Amino acid sequence: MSTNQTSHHQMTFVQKYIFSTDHKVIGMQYMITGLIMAFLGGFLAYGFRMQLAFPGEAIPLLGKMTAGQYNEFITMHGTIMIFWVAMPVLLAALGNLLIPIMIGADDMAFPTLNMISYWVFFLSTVVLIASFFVPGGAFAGGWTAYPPLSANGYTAHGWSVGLGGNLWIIAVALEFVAFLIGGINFIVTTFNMRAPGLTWFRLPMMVWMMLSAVLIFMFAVGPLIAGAAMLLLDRTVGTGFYNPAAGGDPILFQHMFWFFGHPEVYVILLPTIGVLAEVMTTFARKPIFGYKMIIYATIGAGFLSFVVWAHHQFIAGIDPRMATFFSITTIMISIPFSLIIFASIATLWKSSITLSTPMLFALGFIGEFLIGGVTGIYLGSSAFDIYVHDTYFVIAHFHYALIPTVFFGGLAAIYFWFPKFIGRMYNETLGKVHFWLTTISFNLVFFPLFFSGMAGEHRRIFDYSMWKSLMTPEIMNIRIISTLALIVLFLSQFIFVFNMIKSALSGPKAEKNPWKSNTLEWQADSPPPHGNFAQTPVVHRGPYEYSVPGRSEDYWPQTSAN
Amino acid sequence: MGFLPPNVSSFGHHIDSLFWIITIIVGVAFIIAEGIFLYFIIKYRKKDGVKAEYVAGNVWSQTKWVLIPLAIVIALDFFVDIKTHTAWSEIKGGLPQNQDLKIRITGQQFSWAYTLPGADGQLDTDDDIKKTGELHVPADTNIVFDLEAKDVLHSWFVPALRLKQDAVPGRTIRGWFKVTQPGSYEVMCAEICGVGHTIMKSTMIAHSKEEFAQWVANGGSDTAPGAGGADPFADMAKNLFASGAGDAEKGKALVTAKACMACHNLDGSKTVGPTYKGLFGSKRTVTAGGQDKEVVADEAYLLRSIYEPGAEVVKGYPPAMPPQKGLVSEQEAKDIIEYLKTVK
Repeated sequence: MSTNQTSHHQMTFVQKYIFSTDHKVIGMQYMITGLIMAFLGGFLAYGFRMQLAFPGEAIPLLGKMTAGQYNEFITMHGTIMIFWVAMPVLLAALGNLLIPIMIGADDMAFPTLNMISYWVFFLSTVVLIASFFVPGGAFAGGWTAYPPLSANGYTAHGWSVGLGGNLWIIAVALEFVAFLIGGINFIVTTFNMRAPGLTWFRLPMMVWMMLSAVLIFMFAVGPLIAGAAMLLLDRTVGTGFYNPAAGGDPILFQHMFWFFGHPEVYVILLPTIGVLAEVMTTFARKPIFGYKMIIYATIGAGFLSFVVWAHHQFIAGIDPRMATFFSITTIMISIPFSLIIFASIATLWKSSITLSTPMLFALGFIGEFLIGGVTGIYLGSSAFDIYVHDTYFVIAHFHYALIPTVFFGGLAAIYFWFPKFIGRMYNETLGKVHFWLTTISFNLVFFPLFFSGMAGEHRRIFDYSMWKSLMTPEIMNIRIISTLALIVLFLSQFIFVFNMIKSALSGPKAEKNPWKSNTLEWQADSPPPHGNFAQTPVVHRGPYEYSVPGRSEDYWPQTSAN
Repeated sequence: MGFLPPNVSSFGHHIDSLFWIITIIVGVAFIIAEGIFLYFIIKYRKKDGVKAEYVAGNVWSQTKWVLIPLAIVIALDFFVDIKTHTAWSEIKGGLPQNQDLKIRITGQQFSWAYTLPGADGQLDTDDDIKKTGELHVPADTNIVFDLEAKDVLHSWFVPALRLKQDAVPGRTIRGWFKVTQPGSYEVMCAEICGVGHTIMKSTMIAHSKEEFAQWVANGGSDTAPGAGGADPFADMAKNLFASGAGDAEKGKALVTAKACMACHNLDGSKTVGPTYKGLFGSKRTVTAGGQDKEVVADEAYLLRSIYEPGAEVVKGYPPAMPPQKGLVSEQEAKDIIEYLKTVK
């Protein structure tokens, strides 16, 4: 493994920070793009939640909303949060920042491909944002893009050309190209560039989870790309893949979408499980409970995730005899994830906990994700799903699964590795204020929605005024509480932005290993130079040897010979 | 639990008891898990001079604390699976032996259309009763439906029945239900179907068996044929406009707010519904009760089109509009009509 420490002094600004091949710069580019998109996605949520809480009123910053705009906003909110926030932040940013340095490598296996990956992603972002401004507006057929509605060229404002929808498909496709390139890099790098002594079972959980996530993504994405290509052809050249009049079948798309869509949940979840392991062991000063057990459970969950997709389609008109099979597999998914959560809780037993900001977010993930997990049982039950499918119960459930994963997991990671990659410490007080405001307002936004869902409140409705059973004072109060809490949740994130920017500019300098952690990245300088390590590290033990009896220090870096 | 609406179907109790079974199981599991979790966080906070214990969790004496609870989770999972299978089999798994009434439900942008057999009890005969926006059914009767969609996906959802089923173009999906209590229940579309998804509403009116038989005998009307007096909408128009003109500006805002523009337009082009351009005062051919006739679009005509859009449907258009009774007040209707007068 050669390092290119010598050459980086001659690089121009553009080579160093724009068209960079350094995995850390690319990781930061993904991270910043993803976080900016998170604000856009959150702002869209502000728009449609205001319309629901105060139907027909002019919305501050947006004015009066039409039914078409509403569909546009909900569609783009879902699209952005999954594909332009969860994927780039958890998979691309954390994978790029952490994989090479945690395995003791100087960079990714293919640095130039890596740079191309980000710039294809950037292009996809530009195409997506451009779709807001084309005639007819952005795509408005729901983020799941079910045909025939999506195949008809439907946009917010009518059945016009539907350019917004075409751009939406192209943007998603470009993004998958970016992640496929990135994924190849993750796999090749992990297999070939591990430091001497870093055997598979000495790998940090973060790297295991990243590798599993990328493998699941690559196996799942093929059918979706095929499905999207057929959708684009239906829209543009008039093929009839999803048009029953031409012999096609609209449900075909649903199978292709969810064959990808469900494993995708685990593509997002696994990196957060990795973050959890790194943060919890460091701040509980204990080995992870059942390292191998968790890895086997993850592999099991990976396989299982490919045979659960039709639980999204219990009432879509599939053969009713299939329901019980998919109900059983879906509920079985609770087994590996219960194991992982139980093992995480067991890790805290007889530990020594410091409630720093990253630890708070990691523990917050466990506490909140449990709600998302247990409510999944209701939906996995095909019979109960008849009632709650496509209601706010589903919305509450998947936000309890995804927000802890993406935001709690993502923020735990950002705070935890901030000193390493920025070289300065963040402000702990602001971090804690951010955590508590986020946690309280998040619960106030989504917990009440379980109840509106139980009352039968159906999704993607612009104005409930005409539905007597859904306009009771209780349900109206839920809409208002949820919306006001969302505004608090959104504004709280500016505390985080302020903390990050101010700390990056003037925070106290971070030492190499501020958390007294074991894994390899903490042996590099903060921030690590291009090439990461002065000498290739040699690994002597597993990543979680904390509080080993008989040692004076309560940690034992992987690189220490003794 | 006040949030689940009252159940009025013969199989809804399965859904409601599943709700309680799952709530008790996951509720207890959740409280235990969160309880232990929070207890550990409080108990094992860092103390000076106390080191964490080295527990790697890789021998049975330790892993049993995770694996035994996991075995309990698996057992409970299968318990939920079995209950689920029983409920699913009754609701969606097949049809009941006695099929007393067969109906057809058609989803279209943006309304539900219902076809019921007339006095002969057969679908697809001359005396079929066709209604848009209102489904009349008898209580205590096994009703088998054929669900279809004309254009895009829709989802027929009646919360009080605990029943939901997607309607898919190109497929006929057969299902059944039995209403246990006469009454009026909201029917929704639960699958996004376009810009008018919000307004895709209809009402299910469950009659007693006798009342329903009378309704069928009347050809789908609550009163016997010919019993009606003068046109109620002519009276309404007279009363409404006696006090002067409406507010066209308000009307303009209303047609946007009420999503009318989802199907109608101002530029004269043909979309889902007829254009507003030059509508007021124009002569139009409509289909009423299966027969074509020519009418003038005056105030009474527009009021009828708002409140009973299925009564006179403009030729060449589907009977797609949901009735706005209870959604648009008479004052609002007046303002809308005032505005329509200005769209030339």
